[in-house]
Amino acid sequence: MPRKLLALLFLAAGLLGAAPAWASGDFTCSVAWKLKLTELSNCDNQPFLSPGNDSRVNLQLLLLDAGKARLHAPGPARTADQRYPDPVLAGPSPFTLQDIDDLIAPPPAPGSGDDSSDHADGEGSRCDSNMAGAEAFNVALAASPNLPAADRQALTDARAALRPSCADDPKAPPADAPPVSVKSALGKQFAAYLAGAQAFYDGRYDVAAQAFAGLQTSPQPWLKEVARYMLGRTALNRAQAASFDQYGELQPGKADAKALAEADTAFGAYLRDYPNGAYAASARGLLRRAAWLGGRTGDLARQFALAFADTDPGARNVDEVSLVQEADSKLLAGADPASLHEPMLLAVFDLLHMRTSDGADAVKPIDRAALEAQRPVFAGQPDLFSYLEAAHAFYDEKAPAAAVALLPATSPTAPMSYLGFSRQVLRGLALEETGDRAAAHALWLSLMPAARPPFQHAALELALAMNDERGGGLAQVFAAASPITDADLREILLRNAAGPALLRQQAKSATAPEHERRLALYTLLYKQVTRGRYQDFLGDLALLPPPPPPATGDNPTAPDPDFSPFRWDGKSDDGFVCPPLRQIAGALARDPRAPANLVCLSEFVRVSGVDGDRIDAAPPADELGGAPSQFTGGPYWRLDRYQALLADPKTQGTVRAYLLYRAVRCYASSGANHCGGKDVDKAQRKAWFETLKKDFAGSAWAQQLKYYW
Amino acid sequence: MRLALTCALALLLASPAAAGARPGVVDAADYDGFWLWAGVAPQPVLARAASLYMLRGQVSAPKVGPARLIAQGGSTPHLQAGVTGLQVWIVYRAHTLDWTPAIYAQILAELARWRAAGDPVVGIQIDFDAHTRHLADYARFLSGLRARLPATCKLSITGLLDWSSQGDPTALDALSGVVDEVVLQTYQGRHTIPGYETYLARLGRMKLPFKIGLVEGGAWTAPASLASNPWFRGYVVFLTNPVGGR
Repeated sequence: MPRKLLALLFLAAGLLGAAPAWASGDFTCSVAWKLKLTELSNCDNQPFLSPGNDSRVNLQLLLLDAGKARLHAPGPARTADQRYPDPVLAGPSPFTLQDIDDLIAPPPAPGSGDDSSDHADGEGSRCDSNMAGAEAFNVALAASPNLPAADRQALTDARAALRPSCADDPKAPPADAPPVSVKSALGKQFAAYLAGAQAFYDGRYDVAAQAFAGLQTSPQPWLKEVARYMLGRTALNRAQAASFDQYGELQPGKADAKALAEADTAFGAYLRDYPNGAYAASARGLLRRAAWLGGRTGDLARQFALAFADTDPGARNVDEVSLVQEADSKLLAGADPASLHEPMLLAVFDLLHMRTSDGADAVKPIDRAALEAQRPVFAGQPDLFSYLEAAHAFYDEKAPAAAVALLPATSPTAPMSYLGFSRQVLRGLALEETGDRAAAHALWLSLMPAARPPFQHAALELALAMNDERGGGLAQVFAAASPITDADLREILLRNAAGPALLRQQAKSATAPEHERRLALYTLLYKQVTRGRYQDFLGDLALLPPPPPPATGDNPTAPDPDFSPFRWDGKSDDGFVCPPLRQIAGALARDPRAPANLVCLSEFVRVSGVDGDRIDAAPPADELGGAPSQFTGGPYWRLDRYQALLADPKTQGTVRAYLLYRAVRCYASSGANHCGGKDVDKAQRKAWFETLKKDFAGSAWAQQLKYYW
Repeated sequence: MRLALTCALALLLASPAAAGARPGVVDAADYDGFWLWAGVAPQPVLARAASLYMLRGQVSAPKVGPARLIAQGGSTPHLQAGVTGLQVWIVYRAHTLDWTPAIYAQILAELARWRAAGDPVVGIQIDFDAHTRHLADYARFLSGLRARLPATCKLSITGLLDWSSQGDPTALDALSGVVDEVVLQTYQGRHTIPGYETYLARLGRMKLPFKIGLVEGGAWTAPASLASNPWFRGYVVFLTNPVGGR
């Protein structure tokens, strides 16, 4: 489930069930490069059952295992624009809900986009069925050869004139339509149906129910069938009629219980007599709605289990992806676990309640005793239950050794189900936390050959990369036969973890892709010059390729990353004179403390626009790239450097004036520091400003600076 | 921070009508403009809303096949302008701008249904995360949409913070002739974007009416320059469900 607050998503959706959608969960997110996920994020799903997965993803994984969802060959990859605002990744893991849905949802049938309805898909208007209803009515007329021509014409005209709005405005109730003028007994039955349909759409449910009740024994087969189905719909709409507030939102618990029971009875009777009827799929969907409106979670869960189980085309009128969405928003969001007796749905519920979350996403954690009490539900699925126990031990009880003991000790040789994969991955994660990094390393490697279902291999690459990063095995990641080929993972390690030797090796590599080589060189040079390795920097500058030809209209994509910062000629906008970068580095190699040259180095960082570059902003400690870097020296933040130079009494004259100016400008013009480094308070900024104005009143910078922030 | 706080207080004193300029955490009770998203339970603060943006549909972008309008939220509301002079905007979230004629027709039909039900609808809002570099394309799309809307229906869009800092000024200008307002979102998901102040500092480039979109419970301190910005039109708060709710 994307958010707890989606509990009431699709409040009124679906006379015919709910349609798939994301409500408000679909904002840009950044990927957390780790496998232990306990908080929901839209772009961090992993191919094993996890509290951090979108609950729809967990449900899909279990449905795939059960053969109730099927993967098809991936279509063309979405372009960056199509993915936006989701991130574009080089590899398949982690993935978004959309990514897995794309592999499951069948491509639309040709022509299915020809939508002539006035209503959006899934819009909760009973009028949405008007057009299909008219079509069925006309088919039934055509199938009644005994109908006199005049009656037929009158009925056809009357059906065409029926264009209800379902506005349900109490101030402007729809007027009664004039009765259809027909002579024959059969014509009168069709006319009675039309009067019922009109009353139904107008919201006069008593009149509608009376009309449909009178047709239940009609000799005309369609009238007989549709009347029985419409009795259910009429009762259901009456049950919810008073449930909508002024905002059009459905108020839970306000439904009319008696009418709901009538709807249940009517749909049950219809399905008993017409198990394969024209309206059977709709009736089953509406039974779910009745159970949902009535708050009968147990019934609703059973109906979802039946709906997922019955994959025959025609058995339901929503596709599998939509049904998952519906189960998530209507059932899992507010369920009482005691009423969930379906293992698959209960497992997804339990995982959701193993999340650590706060604020708007807060969930009530499930405790061990409550989980234990569910054991009978999982009697037929012991592996699933032991997985949940292990997950609880690992995520909630912080007892990784206990989790290991609950999980299989042998690696599979054949491709794994997603549950089988989940059991192995959780075991690996728990081994990592017990400190047995070597056992975890062996496990990750041993799983790789069998990890052929979508997303599995990529997850193992991430696991192995994190293990190698933390276990001193970084060189193995970049060795020739490395199983870690995901470009995102390799980039994160080069940017954050790699030391100079490894960066130089990859910069010169004959086999690495061009982007990887360039990234390694960029990172090497940037870190060398900002971390005081000036001599090495001057040596490795020789690795820079010649500058690319100027971009033209035909060839707008420049190689990435762009090396032009390392060719900086020393010019800047604010009048502090610097030599080219190579000379700055040369001077610093001779005297690493010369203030003017250190200011010029900071100018290189400022002018190149690499402030806050990802190179200097390390990932969180529990993510890939978050371990202490092999490249020593720490990040380069301009405000820190300005302060260090200002603290040195040897920094005088023009250099001091410029530093004061620059330090104040770090807070321009919002009052937030955009130079990186330790914040200073307002009083300090004021003091810098006043010192500049007083001690260097004649400088251009003192005159230029009108404010401090 | 202290300067900003002082200015925010000054803003409150200078213009008591500018509700919601209190520093700190966004409390819906301080505001009178709201987004009501699908699945968010209506709150009592809505009773005193002067503007209400209600999500009603999402234009989805299936990987294969044409875009579809998928309903969000409930049935047609029955709202009245009342003493606050409530103005209602119907919001459509778009994942694609490749709209079929059916989508335009469905939106126009919905507008008509709401008005027929007596709802004080002033316009529609499009919520689309346009890349900064694609603003010109977005402006062209909006121009086409505008041409299909009745003259009585205004057009609002949500905007991203970085438009004000990185957006092509020409594209931003192109928007100004097409939309009646932009509501700039200062949050992603349920959290205020860190460093929003930096972006807002560049609002001087916006030459069209704008509001600031906040998230209930998120952080907000009004930048000093906001009150004097002639294009600033107030706030819209994205309501969330209470903690520990369903």
